[in-house]
Amino acid sequence: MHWRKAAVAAVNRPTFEALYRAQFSAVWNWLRRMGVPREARPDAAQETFEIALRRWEHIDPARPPLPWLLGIAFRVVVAQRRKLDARAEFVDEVLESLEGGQDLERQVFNRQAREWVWKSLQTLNLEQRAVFSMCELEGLPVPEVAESLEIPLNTAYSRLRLAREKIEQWLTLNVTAGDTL
Amino acid sequence: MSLTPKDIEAMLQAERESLARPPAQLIERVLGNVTASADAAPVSLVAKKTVQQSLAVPLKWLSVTVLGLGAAAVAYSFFTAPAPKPVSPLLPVERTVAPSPVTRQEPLEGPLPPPPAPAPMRARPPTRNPVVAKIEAQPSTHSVVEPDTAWELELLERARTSIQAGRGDEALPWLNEHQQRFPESVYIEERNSLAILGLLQAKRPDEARAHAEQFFHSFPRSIHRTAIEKALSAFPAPTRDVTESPGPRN
Repeated sequence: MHWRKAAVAAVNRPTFEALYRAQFSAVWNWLRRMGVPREARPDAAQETFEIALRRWEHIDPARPPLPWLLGIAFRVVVAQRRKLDARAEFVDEVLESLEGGQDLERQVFNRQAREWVWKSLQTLNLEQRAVFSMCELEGLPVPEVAESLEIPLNTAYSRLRLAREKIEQWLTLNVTAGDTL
Repeated sequence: MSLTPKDIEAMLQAERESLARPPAQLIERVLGNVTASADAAPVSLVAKKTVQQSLAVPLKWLSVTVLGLGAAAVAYSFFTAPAPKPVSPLLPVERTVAPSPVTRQEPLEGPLPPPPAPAPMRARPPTRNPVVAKIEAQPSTHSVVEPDTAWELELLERARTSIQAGRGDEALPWLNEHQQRFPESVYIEERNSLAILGLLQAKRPDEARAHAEQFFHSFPRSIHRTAIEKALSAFPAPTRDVTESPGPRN
């Protein structure tokens, strides 16, 4: 067996596989929020985890892996930005079964809210969208986001502020209060 | 009636709680592809190198063959060319044109000059960083193996293993050897990042810091940057005491 194969098999793979299984859905969901279309998402996810595996020795086990993975995924998205279509139609991919415990009215609102938020995200540039989705939607701390995206902390806060303003502006212009619950 | 912050928050919360789950088959398929690519990565890298080498060798022999055939053709035409016809005052051009290919190809008839000996890698221009040059100056204690991609990767892997085990001083000779053998490697970024970590583990923070400055300049968006900065933070730069009296001047 090739020495590198042996090393990967003996050391990295079990832990990497555990990480992969634990985080794949989160990465997949984040790619959706970044506007990567469904047909391009498997490639983007695969490339993200391929890079993660290649950079495996640089992961800090003392820290949560998701920001690190999303930092990689962001670079993948940037590289594939031509595949992103700002005029793409919203496709609700959230399974109804996930909302089984909710009443119908709530389900309808959630579905509509997801579409509004998704459309408002389309007004952001990639950098703002990454920071906003990581901080506001994934709930990651801004310093970790700044580190994973390799940007200064002030830049991260600035992008987050601008993104919030744009999101609120779009929602205010396009959604009336009567549409909400 | 306009939206309130509470309305906006409710919409964001709906998105936060949403999770588009990928199909289970897709998860397995991508995992298989990722692990297969990890297996194939060194092979593909080797294959890439082998393709280059396999192209280089035939091209080399092809050029030698073409040159040889050309020389042979010229020699053949030279020796088998009909003797010059009696000079006709009407064909002065033939007389002047005929010898020209021979004279043009003349250097090919002689033995080909020996190919220039490849410049030894140690004779390459000094590295940009004096720290790297200093590491280079250390004698390598490792065996000499024909340079190829597998050996290149193995050198880095040995250095990485040593650093992971906290033995940065053991990693430096491997990196030194890699630097000497593969100065133009595509793994320069990895090698330099490992060198910085190795220097830190070898209790040579000043050199590591100098090397890191060069590294950050060359690779400002390197993915290794965070790890390097974190490692460097354990060795804070000594602050110069302004009240310290200057050393004796000679």
